Amino acid sequence: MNIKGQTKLLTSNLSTKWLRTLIASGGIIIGIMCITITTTLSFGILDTITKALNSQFEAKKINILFSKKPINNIFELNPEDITAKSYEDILKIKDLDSNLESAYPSRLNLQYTTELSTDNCKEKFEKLALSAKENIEKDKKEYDKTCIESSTTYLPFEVYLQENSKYWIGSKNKPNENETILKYTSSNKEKLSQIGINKPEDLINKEFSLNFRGLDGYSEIGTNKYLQSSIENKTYSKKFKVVSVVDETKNENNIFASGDNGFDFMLSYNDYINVFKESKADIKAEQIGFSSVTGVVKSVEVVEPTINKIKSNQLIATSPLLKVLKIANIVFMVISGFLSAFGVIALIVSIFGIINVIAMSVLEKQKEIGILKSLGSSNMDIFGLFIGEGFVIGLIGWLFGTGLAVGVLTAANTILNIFILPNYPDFTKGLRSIGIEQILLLPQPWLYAVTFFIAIFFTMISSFLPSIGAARKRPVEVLRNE
Amino acid sequence: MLITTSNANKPSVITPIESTTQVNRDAIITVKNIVKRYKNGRTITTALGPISFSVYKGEFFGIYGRSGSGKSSLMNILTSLDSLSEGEIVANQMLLNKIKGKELRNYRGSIGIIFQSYNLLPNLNVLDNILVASWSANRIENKVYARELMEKLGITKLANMNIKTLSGGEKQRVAIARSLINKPSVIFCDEPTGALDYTNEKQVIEILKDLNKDGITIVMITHNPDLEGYFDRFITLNDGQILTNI
Repeated sequence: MNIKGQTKLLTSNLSTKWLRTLIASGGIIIGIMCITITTTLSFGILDTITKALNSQFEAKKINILFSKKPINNIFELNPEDITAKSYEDILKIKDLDSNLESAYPSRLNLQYTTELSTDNCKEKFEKLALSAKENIEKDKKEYDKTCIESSTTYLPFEVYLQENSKYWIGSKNKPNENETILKYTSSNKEKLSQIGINKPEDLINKEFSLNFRGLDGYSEIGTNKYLQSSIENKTYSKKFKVVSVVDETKNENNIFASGDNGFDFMLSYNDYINVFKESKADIKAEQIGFSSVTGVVKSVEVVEPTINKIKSNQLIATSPLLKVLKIANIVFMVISGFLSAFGVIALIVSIFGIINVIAMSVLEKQKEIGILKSLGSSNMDIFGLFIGEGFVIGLIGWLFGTGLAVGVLTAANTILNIFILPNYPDFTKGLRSIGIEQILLLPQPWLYAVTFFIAIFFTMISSFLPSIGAARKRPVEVLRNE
Repeated sequence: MLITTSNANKPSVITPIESTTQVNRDAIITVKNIVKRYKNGRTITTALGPISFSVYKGEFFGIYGRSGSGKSSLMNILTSLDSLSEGEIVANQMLLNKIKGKELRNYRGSIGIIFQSYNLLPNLNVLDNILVASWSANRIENKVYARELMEKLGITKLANMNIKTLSGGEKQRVAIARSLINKPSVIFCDEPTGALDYTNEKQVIEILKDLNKDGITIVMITHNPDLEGYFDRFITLNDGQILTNI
């Protein structure tokens, strides 16, 4: 039988039994709806968050700590817990796991002060350091009038660039020796204006004298020994040329930006070594300690396995953003699991419904089968008519199921974005910080194809046996029974 | 001459070869010693045969018999809707007791069948009921010819009507049009007037006579002795045997 004839016979049969066809597709409708909603929830939202997180350097960053005992939270870490490693050793950490794209030492245990004027800040600073226990308030006031002070930790250039590339002005190259990259922040803006710098561009090519003072302690390489008060009174001063600036004032959404510390800067690693060597002559420069390492993984999804691997090397790691993702994952897994189970049950039940409907259809159309065969129709033609009926049931089930799912998800979008999210401004702000302006629960294009395949697959297997039965009927028998 | 021997290796489709006799050259259907048995549990009933006869090209051939005489079994075998238990039938140059699959479907598509109960498809309109024979036989749909047939049979105005709304006579005309759509050389009619009143019966018979005059061979089953006069030749069946061959 030609396609036109098949189509005409199929449509004429279905048009007279449209209500039964619709009811038969009920199970498919419910099943497809549940699967679409479930998958959109579990993949849709998590995909949106995951994609957004993957585009954020911070989310892929894991902090690797060295410890002989477990540390639960990096931000409450005691220096005593830290066993420092050398710069070269830290660089080798990226070989621990193939998911680690890079690993940089961070949090060098030195603290610096910086001077941006040519006045006698150095002397004032030394005086302040020496008389720390006496007249500290008085000395500090005098110091603040002419000096700009900041504290910072060593931040690898790659991390610095990734975090601030959108707000970068000037060269994006790693600073050479005697060069520096500065952050122009809202908190140092006022002080900079005192020395005639009113916009970030004005900083480029300026030379500043930076005064360094070691923190009140540091960790020694290879031991858990914390050395205290050994470098308090050592300072080191050196001039640096500003080669590029990061305009932090434009970075409104960067919740990780450290604009409050006054003046962040970036030097070449050799400069740090030299600073350390000069400011603390009583230990070897090569033994500079780092309290943590920043690792960057390929994607957010591999953060956890990477952390586990690092943990197995007696290194402790944590990533706060991953915890958010994990909690979201658990919530969606529960919802998805429930809906998926419901959807699968609906699909399985629908198999029996469709078998029944097609079998009834075969029974009702016995005479038609006989007529068509007496006119020359083949077994395949008859099989095609009934399997086609199953296909249409699947198609209707898919169309209605997908339509209902989109309707439910659209309603959920409205409820979520208009009624629920506005009540949680912090959460909304957090989403914006990773580039998500609005949560849109809509099925992914590939999901339409997958659910279409599922709907057709279930109806095809349901229709197969009754259709085979119809195809095998002998015309003389069905016409005789009429 | 046609090859009609029961050689196991012979082809199911008979290749016509040079005719040597007038009878065989003109025979469109040759029935040779056919038997039809039905099995019901352990009981085997012979419903038909052994019988032999021929139908010649262009004939209006009648198969007359009372209820239970075996005429419907014979019709089912001639139209290939049922198989035979023994014997041979050559129809349209095909060996019916051997053909299957595509050849069987081709045979069914090459003949016309008219049933007593019309056997039209209730979900299709009149025009589509005529065209369904083309679809089933995998032929190119010829709507122009379908309309010509409808005009010839006086059912043009019914083209888009639902089958359920037609009278018995109209339904049988639609069935006749359907049987003609593939331009068959032979039409088998199974009690075509059995469900009709006298007026419609006469009209249908006249239509069939006209078709016969146009060269189409008609094989018609009937239990109505009044129709004998319309046949060029007929056989009378009784208890599965040919009682008379006139």
